[in-house]
Amino acid sequence: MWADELAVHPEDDELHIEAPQLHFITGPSLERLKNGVSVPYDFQLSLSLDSPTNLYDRAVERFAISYDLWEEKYSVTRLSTSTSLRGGMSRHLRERRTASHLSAGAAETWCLDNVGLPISGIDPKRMFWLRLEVRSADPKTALPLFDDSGISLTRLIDLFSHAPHAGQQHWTLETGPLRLSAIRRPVTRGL
Amino acid sequence: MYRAVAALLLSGLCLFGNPQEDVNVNSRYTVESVYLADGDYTHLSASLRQDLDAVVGQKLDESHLEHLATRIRRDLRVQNVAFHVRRGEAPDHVRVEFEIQGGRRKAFDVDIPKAAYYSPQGFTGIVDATTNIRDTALSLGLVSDGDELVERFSGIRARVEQHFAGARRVRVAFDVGSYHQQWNGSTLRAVDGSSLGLYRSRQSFRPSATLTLTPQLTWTVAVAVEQLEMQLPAAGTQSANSVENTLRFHQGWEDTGSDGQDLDAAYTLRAATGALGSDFTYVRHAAHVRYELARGNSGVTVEFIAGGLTGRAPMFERFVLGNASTLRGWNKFDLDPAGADRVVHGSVDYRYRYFTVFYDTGVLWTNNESTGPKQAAGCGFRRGGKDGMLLAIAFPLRMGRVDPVLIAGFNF
Repeated sequence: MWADELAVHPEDDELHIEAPQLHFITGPSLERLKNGVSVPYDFQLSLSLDSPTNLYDRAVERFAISYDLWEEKYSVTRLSTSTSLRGGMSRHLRERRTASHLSAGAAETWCLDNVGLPISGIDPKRMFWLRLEVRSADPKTALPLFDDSGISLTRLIDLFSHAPHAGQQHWTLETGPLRLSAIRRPVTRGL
Repeated sequence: MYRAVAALLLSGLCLFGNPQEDVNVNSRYTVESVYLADGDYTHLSASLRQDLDAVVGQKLDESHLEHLATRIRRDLRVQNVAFHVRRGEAPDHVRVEFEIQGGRRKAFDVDIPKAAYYSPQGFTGIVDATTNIRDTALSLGLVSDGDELVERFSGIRARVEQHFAGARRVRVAFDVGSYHQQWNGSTLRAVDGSSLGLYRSRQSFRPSATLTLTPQLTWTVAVAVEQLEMQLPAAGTQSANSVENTLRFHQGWEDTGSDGQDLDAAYTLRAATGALGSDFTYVRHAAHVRYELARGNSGVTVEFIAGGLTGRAPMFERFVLGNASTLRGWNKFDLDPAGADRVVHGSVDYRYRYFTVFYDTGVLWTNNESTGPKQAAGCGFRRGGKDGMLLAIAFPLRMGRVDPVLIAGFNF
């Protein structure tokens, strides 16, 4: 069932999302963070055209969140490049980025702000659906995603091709149908 | 479609971010202490304890702590070991707590530090029962060792070890042992008429303290008091009392997965003088270097031993080659049945998965007489590194005949 859990807005030829009701810094992951250990989170944003099952493009990202034990603030580092299935890559998302001194909510928002899908080439009048999947990565299995150069996007995609394992925290949010011609630019938010 | 696949593959190659780089914001803080819950610190291997000590004073490295947790899990044979990082006492410092999860280690534990069969010399076995009371470990063991020294010594041993946590870790221990000796016929013939006195029993008392000087370097100072009941009743009981200093260096380099390097080096100087009430007066030097390299399924271990002693030393201080770990394939009683004054030995082990081949070479000297350089080689199966199991056939490399020797056991 499609529910409008995601707010969508275009920005610099990319589609970005907001999910005010999504809080993933919770439960066992939060406990690990408070224990001074970093927690990786994997994000996948999928766009389907014309029908909810007709996948057109998707972007995957991994973020590492940690909790500063002395300052009691969160820090987030984006570990992967922002590259979509169709090869689009936004300029401002290419480099590795880190944000620190964040509240839990701001850290969650920062992650969402750094997930985007290019929309050039999409007919503004065509209907589309968006699906966001978030998973807290198992620290024991997070490492194999790395190779000699860094994190592998193909392995991240492969990760989302499997169902979450028992005990793994995961969230799924969807919205649609929408049309680009009907989406208005939102008011710019601050952290 | 092809464009999409190509883009996907390229994006897989277009990676960035060093996997070794720590993304934990707490990595800027300095570790002020490391603590293992349940007082099991004393059960850990010496190299692991040293690596844990080495964390103190360093910046927090989460991936390194994960690796240490895995090693603790292996050493303690528990289901899982997690770690927590807490605020330290000093600003910008943190303390690390390792916690055993999914089954606590038993308060009373039985270990077999060494079990070996070496066909020329028979079985060797050591069993220790240990209990922990906070940071103090108490152990009681049974020993029958025909491998390490010239003689076979059998008896009981006990150890009390106390660990003090702090910025610089100090460990104190007290070892006692009572052993009965058995001498090989070759040894009896070799020492007949010499000044080397044989003894029927040995009591050992050895208090020691170990100080961590740097993350990689420890210094152990000990006083060894050995009471020897001599074979000849007229000789009565003699003492071999010495002061011992050991410098030990250990450095590990971790790569990804099972890849890594490990260097372990130690130098021990033991001096026995009349000032300590010793009937034996001697100085003994011993150096040991071990380097291990692991790459995927392959691994190489290179080991070097050198030692020498001057003065009149008891038999248990003399050097031997030709046992389950040196000149494998040779019989120590064929090389020098009374032990030697000086020794040099080197070995190279290569393993692929569980298969291992090795080559040993070494030489012994007594006064000006030498065994000449000896060599041996062998092959077999090893699982779990030096602390694992070994089943091998070894051959002394010499002209004329081939005498295979069977080696089996673990923890040697």
